[in-house]
Amino acid sequence: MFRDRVNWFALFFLIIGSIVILFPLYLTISVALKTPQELGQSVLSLPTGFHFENFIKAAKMTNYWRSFKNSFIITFGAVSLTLLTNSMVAYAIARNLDKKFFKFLYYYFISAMFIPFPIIMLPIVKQTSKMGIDNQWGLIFLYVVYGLAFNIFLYVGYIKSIPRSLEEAAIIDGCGVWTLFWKIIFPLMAPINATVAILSTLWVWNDFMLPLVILSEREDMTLPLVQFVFQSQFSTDYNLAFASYLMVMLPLIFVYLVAQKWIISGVLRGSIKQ
Amino acid sequence: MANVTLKNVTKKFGDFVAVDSQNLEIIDKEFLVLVGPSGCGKSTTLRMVAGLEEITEGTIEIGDKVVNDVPPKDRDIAMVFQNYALYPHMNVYDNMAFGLKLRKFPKEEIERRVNDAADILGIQPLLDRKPKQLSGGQRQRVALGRAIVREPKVFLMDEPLSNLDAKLRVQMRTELSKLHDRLQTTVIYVTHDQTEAMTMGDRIVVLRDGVIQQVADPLSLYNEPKNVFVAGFIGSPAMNFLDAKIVQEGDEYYIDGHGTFKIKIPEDKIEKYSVKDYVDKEVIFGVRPEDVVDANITHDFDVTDYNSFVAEVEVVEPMGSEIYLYLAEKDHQMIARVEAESKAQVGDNITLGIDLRKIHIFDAETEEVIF
Ligand SMILES: Nc1ncnc2c1ncn2[C@@H]1O[C@H](COP(=O)(O)OP(=O)(O)OP(=O)(O)O)[C@@H](O)[C@H]1O
Ligand SMILES: [Mg+2]
Repeated sequence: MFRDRVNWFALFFLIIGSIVILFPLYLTISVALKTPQELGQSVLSLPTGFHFENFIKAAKMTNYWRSFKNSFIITFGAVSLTLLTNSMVAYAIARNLDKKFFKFLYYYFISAMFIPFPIIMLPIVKQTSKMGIDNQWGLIFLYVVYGLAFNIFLYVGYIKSIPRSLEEAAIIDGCGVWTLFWKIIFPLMAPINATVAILSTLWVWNDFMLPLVILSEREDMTLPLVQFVFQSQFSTDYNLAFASYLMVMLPLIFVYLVAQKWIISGVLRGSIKQ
Repeated sequence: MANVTLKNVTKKFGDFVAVDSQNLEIIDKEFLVLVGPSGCGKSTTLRMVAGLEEITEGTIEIGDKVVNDVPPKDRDIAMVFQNYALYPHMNVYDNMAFGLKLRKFPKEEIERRVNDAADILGIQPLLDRKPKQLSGGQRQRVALGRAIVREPKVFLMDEPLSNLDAKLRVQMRTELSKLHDRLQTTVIYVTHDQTEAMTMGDRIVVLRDGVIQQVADPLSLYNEPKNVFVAGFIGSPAMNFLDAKIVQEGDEYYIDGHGTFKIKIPEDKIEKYSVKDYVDKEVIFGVRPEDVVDANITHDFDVTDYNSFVAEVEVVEPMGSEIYLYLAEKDHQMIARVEAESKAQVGDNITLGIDLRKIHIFDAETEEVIF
């Protein structure tokens, strides 16, 4: 039967792809659960017991909860502000692209995508310390602004697919611009909001460079920074290092699982007849 | 009172004139249909009444109040869109209640209105569904419901039935007419379908390139078109137009189809209209397909030499209750809509009678009607 035919070509690449991704994951998890002795005997073998004390030790060593809290505040703050503000900016631009000024704004924001970070690094560091925002709040602000370039690109493309007649119907129903945005447009952007949320979360959570150059206080450090700072101490103990890496990664997997159900295509289905 | 009055309303997009100085008085409780070919400015006119499009020149009044600068939500209108424009993230109830909630109606009032509208439209069982769980016809009803609950002064509808299949369209057509009788509200209805216009409208406005061609009730529009465009647009199959010339022979006047036919103009028409001014001038002769008859079948008028011609049948299209004959005579083409008992076959040369009471002639230059 047609349905049962196997596409060997695709299967082959799927297998290769899976191995490339799954093998390091397997290594990370298994090493994190082993004792140093086990690791010494064989790197690849399955762990004989589950040594969860690795996690506890690693957490203690890196002051995991404090940096987790820092990372969480920054990520949560940056992502929620990104969703609220960037979507609004994009909406204003997307619906006025026929006007010269907004078209200019669009390309202006987008062009920021092509500026390499090292070029703006020094000015940012100077500026933030001068303004006294070389802390979490400054970081959140920077993420919201730097995300704008790529997010506008994503949002504008999506908003164009929302039929204008929906807005016109809402306007006749009595919406002002504000209610129109929050009651109609924003809910309809759920799939793209989820996409932006996931991408921003990944970026902010894993980002190393910005926190490194901006944060001045040791107690403000985020998880990736802490990993870096403690690398030297891990050098003798791979098990702790991998346990610690895993602990940085897990929240992201959780976020992805929660958000991915929103990335369903066809949220707009049924609104209009194409 | 909800008269809608358009005074010299013009809409320009840049240099392009989409609506050209329209004057129109829509009477309270009237079902007015705007009809015309694609791009003639129907939607633009409607959207200006709705307030979705700015008016370049002129004024629009709703209920004796100039609304040029009144935002759509304060115009007391409701609009039904061609693509329904239902809010996809709300269920049917919320779709209908949305406008009322924004206007801060009390909860019980909202419930009552939505339930009443749902009863009228027969969508009571669907209130919990999302738009994507509805069929096209059901969505259409919800879109109507959303307009009805608002109890507006004026309903604006932009081709609300054009996305439905033929059968549902016919059904909804009658339902909409009934609904209008029941609600007794002014309706401005846009369509490009002349059948819809004829069956639903109290009055019909025919538009062409942004200019109003004629405003009349369906029968007058059909029987007394003002120009070639209206005559050709209303009616299906369309009216036959043939180049001709008016000739005078003694006291009698004829429409001479350059040798292919010669038809006598009835005396009452000569007295009543300016036929004499057109002697020896080019005109356009117009006759509807149903007024061209198979001479072998008896009718309520006699077929004589002066109201008939012979033509070759090129195509026979049996429709069941009637037959369309596609005729050719020299370089003239014509369609006749004859009774099903006609025996005409392809290739036959048959005699066709013309009902002189129903003929029209138009000025060949201005395309305005002479009678
Ligand atoms: N925003 C706009 N900018 C420029 N031209 C426009 C705009 N909207 C409409 N037009 C033009 O105005 C004319 C009238 O458009 P309108 O939408 O009113 O036509 P319509 O009669 O509703 O046609 P249809 O039956 O296809 O819906 C068209 O030629 C169209 O191209
Ligand atoms: Mg239109």
